[in-house]
Amino acid sequence: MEGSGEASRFFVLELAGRRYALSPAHVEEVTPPVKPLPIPTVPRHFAGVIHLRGRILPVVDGRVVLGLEAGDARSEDARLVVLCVSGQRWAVVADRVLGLRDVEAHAVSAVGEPPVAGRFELPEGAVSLLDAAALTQSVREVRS
Amino acid sequence: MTRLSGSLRVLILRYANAALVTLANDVLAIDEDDERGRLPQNGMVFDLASYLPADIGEGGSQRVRLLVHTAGKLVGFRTDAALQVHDACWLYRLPRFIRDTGCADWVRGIALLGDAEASPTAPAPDDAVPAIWIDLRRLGSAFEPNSMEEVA
Repeated sequence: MEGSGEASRFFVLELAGRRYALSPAHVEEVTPPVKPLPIPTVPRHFAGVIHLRGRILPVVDGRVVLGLEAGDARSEDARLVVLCVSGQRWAVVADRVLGLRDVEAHAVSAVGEPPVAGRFELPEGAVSLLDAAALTQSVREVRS
Repeated sequence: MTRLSGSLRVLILRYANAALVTLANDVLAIDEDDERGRLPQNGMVFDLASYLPADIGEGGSQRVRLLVHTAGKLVGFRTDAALQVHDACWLYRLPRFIRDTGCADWVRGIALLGDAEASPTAPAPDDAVPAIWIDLRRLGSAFEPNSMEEVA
């Protein structure tokens, strides 16, 4: 990506005081949070499921998957972000959504380990760029 | 997400923070949770709340036993949920995303509960409330007898 001179658009959200970016192509919907229904015997990084217009969607605790400090996104700014990755829909509760941001491609440094694919800076601070497919794989593989 | 059926009669177990459903046909009887209960002396009782997430499982209603027949034995599930038989219900398997990570087979899926007047052959309404669909017979057979509480 470095040196291409083109701008990329990212969807930016905040979780546990950190900022993360995703390709907007994987963000299907942003809604006010709904308390998920917890499911017995599933790993704890699944907060439960919600019913969203005829669909049953798993809600993932992004803090556990990303190895962040535990906590609840219960502020007024919290939003449920529905992702669709390779046909797999799931949702994560963000503490805050910063929305779409255009970033010069050369400003994105390709550092980090999956699911982090790079980093860049915004006025609000550093942002970790997430690879949606790797993130989804992390949700499948994390043991909690 | 697989929708399984829209016409099965279910027993709803309503707790303070959530609801469970089980197929009504699986429940042989709703019994007293005391010495008047019909469970035989060698019968066994599960405390259902101990198998549920921590923030659900307490309903504040009268304690009863749901009797089911499983693996050749009659077992009871003690609960204080408010009970209701319901027809307008849409049953779904758990999303594969969750199933793939490992989930007990007695957690069958999700039920969407509609109004009593709702037609189960119509699509589930947007305001249908999700409930956990469990299989009490599978749950009863999932544990060795010595892990259960025997009724004196």
